[in-house]
Amino acid sequence: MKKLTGAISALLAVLILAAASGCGAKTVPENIDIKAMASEIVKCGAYTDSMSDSVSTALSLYGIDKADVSDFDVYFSSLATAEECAVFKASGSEAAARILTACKTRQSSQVTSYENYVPTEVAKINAAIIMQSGDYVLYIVSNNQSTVKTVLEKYGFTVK
Amino acid sequence: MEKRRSGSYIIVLLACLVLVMLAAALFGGSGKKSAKAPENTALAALTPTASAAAQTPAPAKSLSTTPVPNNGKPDIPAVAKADDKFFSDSVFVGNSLVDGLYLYGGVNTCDWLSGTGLSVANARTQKLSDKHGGSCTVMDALAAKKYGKVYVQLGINEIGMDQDDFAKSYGKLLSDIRKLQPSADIYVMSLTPVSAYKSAHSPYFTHDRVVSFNKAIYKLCAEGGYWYLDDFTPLADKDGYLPSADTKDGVHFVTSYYPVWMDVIRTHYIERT
Repeated sequence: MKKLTGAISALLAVLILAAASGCGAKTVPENIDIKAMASEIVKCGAYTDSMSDSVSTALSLYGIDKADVSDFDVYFSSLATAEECAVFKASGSEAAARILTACKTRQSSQVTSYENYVPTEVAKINAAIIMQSGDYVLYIVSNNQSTVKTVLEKYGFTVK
Repeated sequence: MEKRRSGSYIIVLLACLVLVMLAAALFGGSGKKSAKAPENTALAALTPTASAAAQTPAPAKSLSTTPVPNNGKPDIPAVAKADDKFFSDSVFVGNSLVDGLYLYGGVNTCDWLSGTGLSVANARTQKLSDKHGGSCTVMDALAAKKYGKVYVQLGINEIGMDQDDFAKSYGKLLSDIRKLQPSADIYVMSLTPVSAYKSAHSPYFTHDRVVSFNKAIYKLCAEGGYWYLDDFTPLADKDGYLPSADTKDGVHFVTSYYPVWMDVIRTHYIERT
């Protein structure tokens, strides 16, 4: 009985500590200023092209339903390169899954566009960061993904 | 004694459970706040998107006569700047430069049939996967909807081709577009300038080849009854080059130069009543 109660107490202590530390809150970013983050990414030194955000065309280009996003920012290149930075906050988990699919489609589309046009860009596209973390979905093509990862980690994203 | 000890353990256990619940309520639940209102209200400022696929096709503005009046004179005069509404019956067809216009030109009242790498050779077959769900070619889209104005810019991806072959292929493509859009004004946009650096370091993307291709395009327009929209001259510097500050690769524009190009288009058109 003593052993059993000791084990229960230890388990509870672990549970309390886990709850108090937020149960993995660091791996799911929250309340991000998307505009600030996207801007910081494109200015972090990882981009070689001229980048500008284009919110009026981005959802159409990605084939994303406006109802699926609660906020977003997408930077495109001059089209000389495939560099891109798309940050979405989905309106829910199912919407996030749809946005992630759209980002994967965008990646395929970029490969198709560039493979016979500027083939050297394909390696960049294939190294894209495509990820979902909570309601946030990212699609990032740059010339230096490790620098981008540093920025993302600052905002609470864990990039594999 | 044993019973009392057991009772104590139960009390401790219950107290711990209460603590766990309290802690979870205070700190937990991260990642379950998707219903929270967005902090940034940028979405409210979104303008409607203009993908042909996303829009319900608007009825084409029908013209009373087929607009092929240029009779060997395809030049377009400079006129008062058109507003976005002017483009509501328009479609733009072209390569990555036209994609840049789509992204940064600031007009979203028209349709865009553009794609990176689009050329006279692949315009019939390349799927416009970005904006049209991966199932549509330029010609499919032009066959599906009537327009009042069709803007076409192709040629820079073909700059390495034999010029006569290019002109022959482009002429055939424009003729096919005319068949699909018999009542539209077809504006064939010239090639835009390349930078001096690009011209000096590339065997194909040279100032002279661009000028020569534009002469061929002008001739196509004169003979085929299309309008020649000269966007080379307004976008080039005094020596005929794309200013180095306005390009990264010598061919595409920096994003801020696309609205300048759009302004050239806004101020060169055929006025119709």
